[in-house]
Amino acid sequence: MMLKKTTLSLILGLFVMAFGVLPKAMASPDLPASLQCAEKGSEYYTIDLVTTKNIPGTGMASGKAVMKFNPNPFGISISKDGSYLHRLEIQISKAKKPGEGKFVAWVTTPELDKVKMIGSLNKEFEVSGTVEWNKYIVVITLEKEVPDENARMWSGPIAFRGLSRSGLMHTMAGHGPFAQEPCAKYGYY
Amino acid sequence: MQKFYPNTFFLLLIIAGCSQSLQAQHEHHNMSGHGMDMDTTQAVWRMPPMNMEMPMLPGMHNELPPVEPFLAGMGLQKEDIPFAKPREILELADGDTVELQASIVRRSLEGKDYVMYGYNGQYPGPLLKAPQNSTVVVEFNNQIEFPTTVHWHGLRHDYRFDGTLFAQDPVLIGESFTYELYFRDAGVYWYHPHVLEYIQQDLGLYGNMLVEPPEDDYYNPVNREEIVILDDILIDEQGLIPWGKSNPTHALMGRFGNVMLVNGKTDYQLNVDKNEVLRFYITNVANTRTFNMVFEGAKVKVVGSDISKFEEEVYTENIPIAVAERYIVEVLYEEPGTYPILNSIQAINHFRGEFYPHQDTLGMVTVSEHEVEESYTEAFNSLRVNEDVKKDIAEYEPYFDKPVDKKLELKVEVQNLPIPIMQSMELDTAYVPHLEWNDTMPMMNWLSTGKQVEWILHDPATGKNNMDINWDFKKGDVVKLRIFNDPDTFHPMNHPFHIHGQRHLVLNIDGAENPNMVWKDTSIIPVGATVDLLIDMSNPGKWMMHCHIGEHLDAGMMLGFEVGE
Repeated sequence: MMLKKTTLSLILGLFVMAFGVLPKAMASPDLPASLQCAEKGSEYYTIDLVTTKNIPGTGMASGKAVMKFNPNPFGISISKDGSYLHRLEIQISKAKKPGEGKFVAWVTTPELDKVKMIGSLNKEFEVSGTVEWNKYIVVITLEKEVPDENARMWSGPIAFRGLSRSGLMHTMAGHGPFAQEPCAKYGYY
Repeated sequence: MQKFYPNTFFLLLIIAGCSQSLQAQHEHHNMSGHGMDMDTTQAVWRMPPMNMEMPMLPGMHNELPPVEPFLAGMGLQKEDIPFAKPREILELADGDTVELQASIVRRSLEGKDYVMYGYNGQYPGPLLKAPQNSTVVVEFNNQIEFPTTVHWHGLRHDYRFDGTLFAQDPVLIGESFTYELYFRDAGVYWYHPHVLEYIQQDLGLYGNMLVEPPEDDYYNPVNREEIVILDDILIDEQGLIPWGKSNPTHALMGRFGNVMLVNGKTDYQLNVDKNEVLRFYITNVANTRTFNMVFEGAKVKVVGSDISKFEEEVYTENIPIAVAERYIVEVLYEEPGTYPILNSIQAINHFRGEFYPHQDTLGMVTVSEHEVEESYTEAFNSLRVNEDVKKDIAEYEPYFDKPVDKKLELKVEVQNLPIPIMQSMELDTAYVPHLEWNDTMPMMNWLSTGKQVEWILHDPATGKNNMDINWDFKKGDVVKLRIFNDPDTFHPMNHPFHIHGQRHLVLNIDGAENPNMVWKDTSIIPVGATVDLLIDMSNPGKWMMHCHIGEHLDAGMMLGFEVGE
């Protein structure tokens, strides 16, 4: 029994490390009413933001990035290249106001080759913006000053991070149950 | 629901499957089957073409759909079947009568002949152009191999001519039925069978209706109008991939085609002058594919959709259009050159766990150096606010915040699917996209049939599903319907939701209010989304609501409702 609990904890730990998200049943229920979706709505695509515990006052904090429909003439919001366009509503809860600097939200591709600043969190620790990538990481950093809106990379320490749900779409090439060839054949090492 | 065997069994299957290379796994896929040049009187299953990089699921090499295969015109001499012609335009006046016949035709696509269906021997069926508020009689005759009906998609007319099971018995082979159409709203509409749509419509039974408004300035001035029907069809080297005769294959995701068709052709081309403005009336008649249409080299303005103009025109770079939806867009080509019309998507490769950009060329537009004789660029370059539409919709604003009247939850249940499919889908659905833009699992999808898959419209208030639901309304009711597309169901998918005989507004998606409304009859319900529709129950009769993916419809996803006088 003990072994099972340990194994489960290990699996959960690896899961959180890998994806920065918690299974839905364990997700924080602290979402304020303003971020509650119409009934179940976009809950499925909500990104759990996990603290790095690197910033004082954030050890017990958590957050959500709610992916919402970006209003447009069509029933689905996508860009010219077919990427989804979302409105991202971010909020951190149970965090203390930093002694110095501001929390700033960013999104970046998993390869970190593209970075976009969403904006600095307000006094309620909220900010919103748009994202037009299918797979991305939400990063909240502590910056000495709010960066220029065209800033292309953060400079402060990372306080929270989370991966879009599409990050769960894990490759099976060379790894999963369909493994037929060496991973390298598919560009994975 | 499917009961699982122990995972060890699956592991044994995997080990067995691992003994072959990827290529070797595909060697058995190209099973000999029916082609136009083969002398055979019955269809034979062939696996649909798939990405050779994707491995076969272990234990799946000899699996076939557990339904009878069907191809059109089996046993007929192809030389006896007439070639279909491009569609004709029928300019109709109030009180006119037209004849419409569904029949077996020969179609030529990329140099090969296929036996398909057509209305009046045409691809697409004839374009019916009629004035708003007119009535037209259609004398329909059935000469295909199935009983059929004709549904006049989007028309708010007499339900007795709606072509559904509530309206009429199917028209038997060789028999006739008289439809009386009333064109209440301006815009573009379409007609198609409402029996075995996944076969009959896919084989070419579709056509447009263009309802012309009395006002000269209802739309912006343009140089030309183009009526465009988007479709796709599934073909391999031997011909059309058979359909399930009594139950659909591809019941999970619907049948994606691998050959794109515009107005029934693979080589749609357009020659335009420099600075020419065109108005496109676009209809998606595919079984399941949502297109993301891009007019390269042009500026594009969205003007209208299913049943009306938008409250306000907006510019766009792309037009995502789900099955059965229509969009009216105006397009300006300013620079000479040759430009593609694309379907531009981020496809998913589940095997590699990644999105990848994919484009299909739907057609080509050549813009000449010659300046268009009459310029409408000034009108194009301003965005019109449609006060008539705003005024109409404003009458419904008091209902926007009303409590929800009806709820639906969209789900799926499966039984007796091959075990490897069940197991791999459990693994594969940790993430489900809002919308499936390509067939991400061709073999699993092909093997899932209407015998094993039931798509469900669930009414949580009564616990009833699909055709056990029969809602009653009265003419004049304004009904708020909340639809939730459950992402936790076995294999969630987007659903283009069609409501017969009425018009509706999309109020909000996941609580995000719709700032620019348009009257619709078909709306996308993305995976995980909660969508509030406001339905104007303006048209008495017995009607249906359903998912317009042909395979989902046949796999149960429909309900009935009645609007009393």
